[in-house]
Amino acid sequence: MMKFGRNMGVLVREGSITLVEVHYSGGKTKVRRAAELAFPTGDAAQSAQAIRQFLQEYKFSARRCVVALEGRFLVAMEKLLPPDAVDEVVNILNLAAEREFGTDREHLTFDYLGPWTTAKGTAVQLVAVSSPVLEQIVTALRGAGLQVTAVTSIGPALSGITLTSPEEKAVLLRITDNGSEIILKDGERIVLVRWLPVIINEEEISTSLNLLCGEIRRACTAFPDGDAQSVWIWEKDGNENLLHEISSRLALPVKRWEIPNVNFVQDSASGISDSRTAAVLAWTARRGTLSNDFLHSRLAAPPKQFITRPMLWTVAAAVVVFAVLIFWRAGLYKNHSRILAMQNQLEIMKPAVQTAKELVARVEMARGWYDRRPPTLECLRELTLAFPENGLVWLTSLTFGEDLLGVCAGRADDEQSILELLDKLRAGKAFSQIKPQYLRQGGTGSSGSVSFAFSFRFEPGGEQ
Amino acid sequence: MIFSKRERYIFMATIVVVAILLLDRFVVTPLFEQSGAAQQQLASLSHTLESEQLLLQRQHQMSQKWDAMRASGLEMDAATAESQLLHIYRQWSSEAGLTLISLKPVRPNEGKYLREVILQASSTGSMKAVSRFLWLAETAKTPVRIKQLQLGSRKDGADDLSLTVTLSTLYVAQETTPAKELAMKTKTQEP
Repeated sequence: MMKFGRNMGVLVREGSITLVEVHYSGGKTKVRRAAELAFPTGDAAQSAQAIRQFLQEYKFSARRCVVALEGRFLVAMEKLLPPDAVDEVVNILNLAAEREFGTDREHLTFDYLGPWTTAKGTAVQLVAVSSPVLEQIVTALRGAGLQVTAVTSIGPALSGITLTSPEEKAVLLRITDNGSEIILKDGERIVLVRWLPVIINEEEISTSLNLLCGEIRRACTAFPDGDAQSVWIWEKDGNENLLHEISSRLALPVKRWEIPNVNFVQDSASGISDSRTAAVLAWTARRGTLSNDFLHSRLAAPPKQFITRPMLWTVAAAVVVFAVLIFWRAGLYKNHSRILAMQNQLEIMKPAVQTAKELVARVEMARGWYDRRPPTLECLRELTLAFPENGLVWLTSLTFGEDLLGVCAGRADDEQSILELLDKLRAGKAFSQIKPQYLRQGGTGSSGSVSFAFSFRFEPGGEQ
Repeated sequence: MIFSKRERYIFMATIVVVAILLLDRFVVTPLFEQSGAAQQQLASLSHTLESEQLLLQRQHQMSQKWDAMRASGLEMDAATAESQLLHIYRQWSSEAGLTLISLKPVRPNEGKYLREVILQASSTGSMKAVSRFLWLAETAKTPVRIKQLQLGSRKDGADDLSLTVTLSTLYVAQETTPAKELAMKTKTQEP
């Protein structure tokens, strides 16, 4: 629904268009500008240029417009759908259009009016206009700088806002200079839309009215029981005599076809043919109550989606995977950079490190001649403490090397004392790897009858 | 060729599986391998860098220690070192009360930067003299160490011992980088 402050109604007739600019403010609807233009001939660019100049000349300022085509451009036929087929309206009507129009279907743009529920099922009016004509009009208007919001048909558009009674079988007749448009309404339902090429000629008014009324009677056969109850006439001149003549010929009450509750303030629309029609069209479009829109047809195939949902998911997944891989690769690149930086740093440090290593190696080696000498005295002390004080066992020789391995040889009065000594040494932590080498009798004299030898390893820091 | 819905699903699943396999074969697995290798290399380099930085930090301390060693009698040639060792041995023996029997200096000529001069000495004396000698050898400020010690009793029941000792001292055969210079370098590198 258009909610802006101004818009344009463009009524397209044979050979001419009527443009009306309507302003909406303070609850009032004002027709500010109205003009009629002979539809430019030539290609679309030339037409657009002509319309643009025309709009500038008449100082039209609105850019949004709704276009209505006269009944002569329209083909309409009623279609009855099976009950409960409302959801399948589009498919059924597309099939019907294909069946009815065959190859011509390609050159037509379809839409439908309705649907309406009837006793026989769901009824719709399948309507169509020539696609080339539609395209020519829309292209020319767009080329002129207008924003075409909708393209509809004027008769159904006006009938949609006409307050006929719910049960009334009405004939809506829009009389123009070059023909009449008839719409049969059964309550809300449009039964028939037809263009009557009957021109009301003032000089032969009786003949032309007879002709028109004959056409109306024939059209009324489209009503289920063939009878109409009233005639509503849309006519520009307010000719009461004309209404009376038609009423007397049809023997039906005739009403002036007015749009209720609409009070147009006519600023500059006087004398312009069908300016009121175009103004009502603009007002209807603003209300959002257009009966149909060929520009956004409900029967048109939905625009093909170039990006389908699975495609979108695939692309999203691919993007995520790609991002993860990029992130991963960036991390790897960062690590490689760090590795290179470290390698460079190590390379720079290499001479200094080599020198430092040599220095450390020298100092470490030399410490064996300073603070890390073999603890010979400590070894002798621990051995001395291990030997019993009663003098039953004593050493005769001791060898001790820088590898902390030593050999002791000695004598004892008995084997028991030697074994006790060895056990004591083993029990302590100062010596390890204690291995007896020999233990034999054969000593000389009264004491030291048993000689022995054992090897050991001194453990600095250990205590008996 | 028109595929049924089922065939289309199978085809798409096949494409997806093949794509995943190819991605794994040519992208994911190589990336995993490269990532693992890089992490390993990074850890190794980090450890090396850390240890070498620690080494450089220790360099100043070691340099000072080396200077102290040099000042305490670490000689620069074999003859001086040998002379110093003979002199020291005689001095210690005399101070401890040992009777010197024999002396035999040896120069093994092993080692690149630091080399040893060895002295094999035999002497006799009491337990107290031996202990005193050993204490002097172990607490000396000059670079001397006892490589081997042989202690034997000469007579049963008497405080008369024979001591055969192999002493060693060090001398500097080749000074690669002057320690002082190194210390200066280290100092200038420190912030």
